Amino acid sequence: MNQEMALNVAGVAKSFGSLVVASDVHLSVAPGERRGLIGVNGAGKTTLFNMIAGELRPDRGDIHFFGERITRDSVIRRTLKGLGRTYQVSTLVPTVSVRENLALARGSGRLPSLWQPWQEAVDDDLLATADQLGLTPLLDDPVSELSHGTLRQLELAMVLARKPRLLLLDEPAAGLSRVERQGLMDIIRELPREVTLVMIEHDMDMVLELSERISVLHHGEVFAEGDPAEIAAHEGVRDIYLGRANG
Amino acid sequence: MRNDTPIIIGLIAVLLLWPLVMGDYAVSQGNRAMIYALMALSFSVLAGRLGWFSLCQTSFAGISGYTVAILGVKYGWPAGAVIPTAILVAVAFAVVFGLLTVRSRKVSFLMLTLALGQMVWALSFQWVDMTGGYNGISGIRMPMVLGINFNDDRIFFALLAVVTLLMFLGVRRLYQSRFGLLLLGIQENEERMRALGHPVYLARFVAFVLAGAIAAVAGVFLVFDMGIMSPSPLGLDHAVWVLTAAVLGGYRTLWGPALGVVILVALEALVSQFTDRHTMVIGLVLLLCILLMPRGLAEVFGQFRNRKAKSATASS
Repeated sequence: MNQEMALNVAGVAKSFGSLVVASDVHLSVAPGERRGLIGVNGAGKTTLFNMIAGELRPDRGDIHFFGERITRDSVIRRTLKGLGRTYQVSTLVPTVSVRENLALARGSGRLPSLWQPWQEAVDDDLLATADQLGLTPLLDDPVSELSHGTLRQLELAMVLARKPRLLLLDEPAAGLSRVERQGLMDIIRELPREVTLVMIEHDMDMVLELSERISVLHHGEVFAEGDPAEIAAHEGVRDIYLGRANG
Repeated sequence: MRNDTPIIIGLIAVLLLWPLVMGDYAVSQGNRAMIYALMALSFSVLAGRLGWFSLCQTSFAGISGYTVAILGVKYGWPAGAVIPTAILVAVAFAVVFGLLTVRSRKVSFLMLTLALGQMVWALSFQWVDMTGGYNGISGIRMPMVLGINFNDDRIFFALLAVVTLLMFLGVRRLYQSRFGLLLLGIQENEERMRALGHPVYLARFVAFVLAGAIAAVAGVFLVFDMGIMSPSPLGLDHAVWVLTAAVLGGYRTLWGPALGVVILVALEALVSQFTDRHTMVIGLVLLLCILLMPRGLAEVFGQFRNRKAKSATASS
């Protein structure tokens, strides 16, 4: 089964002291799939992302990426294998320009040149990605002066420039206006099928529209899984979101 | 990086004219300023690019200085072998210190470098057989090369000016490189840089060793300039002096640390003519400068230049 899946999370658990954040998470995502990951605050969604990306090590369980066990790999090794992620809060370099941020997008796992000017890291391919995301007119603007929506676009451009095989989007629409959100949805919709997508999002309209399957996390476990219509009609999920399910 | 060609041209002009038009005291102060500018540059590579405030950069200068003194005076090595060995020994220490500090964060890094610097300082006066203790090692002189006497202050100035300028231009290139940009990225968000495939610890380590190498070069000139090597330049007061100069000038910029050193050296020379309490007066001036310009003088000049450029663009 691991051979076929872009991502396979098997029995992953994580606790911080007495606080159990993930107790027994199982999640399988097929190559090219668009998967939504939802759940109320504190359900363990971002912790799960952190474990998949390598920023947290699970207490137990295993994570496979296109059939390869990555549970103990470092963040950099996972990135080099084709795993990309965005963060809830945009984490760019605000003191420099959009172009300079793009120049940082493609780390190779090795030390970059101490002599080569950074401008040479911004090649046509990188500029094309930036253009797809509407960043061309802003290339020389300082990142500290960008709107929240544009920051999201830049962050996405930096991750897409690496041509990831699996992309983890952590609340990509958080803080965006309706127009910005629509623009972001268009961008996500147009992502090539070579990119498998797992997305945490609180905007249910967006999740239901963009996801082919949705997993619902609750109390550190996958509580329900199905296509958007099944999840929208799921009585238990409704109870969770209305605060009627406690255990 | 802004266009700093006018600064470089101005600096070259000053360095060319200084030994020709100034008196002996001013030339010797110029030598001192350049040596400390190199130490402040070493400090600012870490503070300005990585947000790492190091209190052991003067230790690397001290280590190379003591190596020159011990090998040259006690063991009679020729200067041609002493100088590169001294730099290599200091770099070796930077490698060890770098391995010890590379995973530390801002305050813990500061404390670790303070502890390491104090250890080197303590070693310098406690290992009396080797270092001469508090009295140090005297009789250190630059060699004659092709009949040129580098012990002449003005010739020493010319050599030091060339090396200082080359070091600053080298760091300028480093700041404009992919590596230099990565250091800024690490300062802002190291997790993000890791997620983009950059080896964060390796980059930090290399920056630390490079900064140590710059300080080591400064130490070689320091010992030849003073003619004696004692524990004094390794003390905490020297480390804080360098830190103060870099902060005053603007440690985030390339030229700011040198500017800070020049101002401090000039202030000390000027104020000490009028009062014995010059340290207190200088402290007061620094307090005001740092309160009014927390990002340093060079950044204030930079912002002024940016505003002028923007208003010129707007009016055209």
